[in-house]
Amino acid sequence: MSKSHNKKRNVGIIYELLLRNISDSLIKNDKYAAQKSLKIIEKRFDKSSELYKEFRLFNALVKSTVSNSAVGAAILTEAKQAARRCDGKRLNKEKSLLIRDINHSLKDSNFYYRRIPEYKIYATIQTLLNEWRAGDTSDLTRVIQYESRAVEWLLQEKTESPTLEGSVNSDVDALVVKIMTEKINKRYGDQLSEEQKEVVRDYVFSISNEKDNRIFNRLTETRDRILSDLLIFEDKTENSMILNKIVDVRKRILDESFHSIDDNMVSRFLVLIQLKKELSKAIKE
Amino acid sequence: MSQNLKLLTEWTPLSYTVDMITESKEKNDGKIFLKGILQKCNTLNQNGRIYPKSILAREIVNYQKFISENRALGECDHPDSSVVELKNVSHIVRAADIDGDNVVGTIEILSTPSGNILKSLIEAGVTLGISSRGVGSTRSEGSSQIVQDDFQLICFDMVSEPSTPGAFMLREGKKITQEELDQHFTSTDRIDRIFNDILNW
Repeated sequence: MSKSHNKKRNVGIIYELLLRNISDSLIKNDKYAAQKSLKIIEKRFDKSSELYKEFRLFNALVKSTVSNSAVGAAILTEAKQAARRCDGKRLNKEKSLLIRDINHSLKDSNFYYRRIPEYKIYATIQTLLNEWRAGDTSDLTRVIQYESRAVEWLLQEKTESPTLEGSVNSDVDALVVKIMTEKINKRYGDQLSEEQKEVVRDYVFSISNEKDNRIFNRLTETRDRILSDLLIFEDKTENSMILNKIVDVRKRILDESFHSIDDNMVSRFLVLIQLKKELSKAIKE
Repeated sequence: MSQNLKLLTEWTPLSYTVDMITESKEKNDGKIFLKGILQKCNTLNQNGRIYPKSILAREIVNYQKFISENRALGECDHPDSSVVELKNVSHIVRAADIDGDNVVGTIEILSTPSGNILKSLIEAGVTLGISSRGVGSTRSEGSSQIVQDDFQLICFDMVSEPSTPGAFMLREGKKITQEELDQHFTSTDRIDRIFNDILNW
């Protein structure tokens, strides 16, 4: 078994890169190229595939937050068992086919060189999944070290995200958080969903700490996801009113630049998150 | 979505004469089309409420989807619900637009049981009004209530003239849940509403 991390075989990184490719293609007005990436996602991340199972497991570990290390350890135990239920041989074959599709179909020399903000934790989680599946041949020292990092990551998310007020740390000016919280509550009251509240929270942190790029990452990720969902929805819907507007809507979303993130941009993204939710529901219907 | 959405209805008198009805029937193969003011913006109405123009203008843009899909139906009389009951439908809105501080529009009376009742009343010269039905919240400002940004227009109903200002307030104010709203607004309605927001940036 290879002991080095191979980003081409990292399910989370590859999925992110495909989303980036879709948004980059759309920015260049190359809908055809965007469709090609989308088709690869649809084909290779099919719900019956081992790749999809691993992706779900990967996502659960990357996105979840827990309140204490005991819960974190319990989650890792569950994840380990789920990883071992995966058909490793089939998974490896599916990854090879995915890489082949990307190389042959997209022909994008920059594909693997786009920046993934959470690269380190993505690499840790994928390595863990690989080691868990390796069973008796796994490198125990490495597994212990990486499991410890994974638990830290699960805890870290939790300590930063419960509420705006609870998120104040040494880097954040408590007054800024208070003012922003009041401002947002006054404007939106109880209408914000959990995801929208997270955007506001990240925005507050970005105001308080210029080095904090969570808001940038979140907006980029949201925009990419919506652009991808819009493509799927465009294929699915027959509603003429929607179809007449979808090109202009996509253009408006693409025109969003993140050079200066301010109140207005965050407000617009709260709308986009609502769109993401509706598109996701409509696609599943 | 705010949890404090309430049913809001407003009455606006509909001006027409028997001659206008006769002319409409002659021109449209016996169909009755009524044109006029459907609602007023920035004006204190009989229920003590004011609808800011920006909110009504936005709702009329969103309502275009209903008009173009022949779903802009209305009932004869106000039900205590956010759902338009097909069995009570009497008319369909064919056009709606903003003209100054007025929402103006064209309504076609349908040959449904409720529509036929409406036709008889109109031909007899009975004073009727058009009444918007929507859901949203309000905020007190002095002695009036300002309709808030969460307002969503559902339809326009045909109703009799209220005996006193505020008469319809007795029937409204019912809390509306998201599930009830979802019976009226489809998935594409909600997406179209967000699209309109985005295109207005």
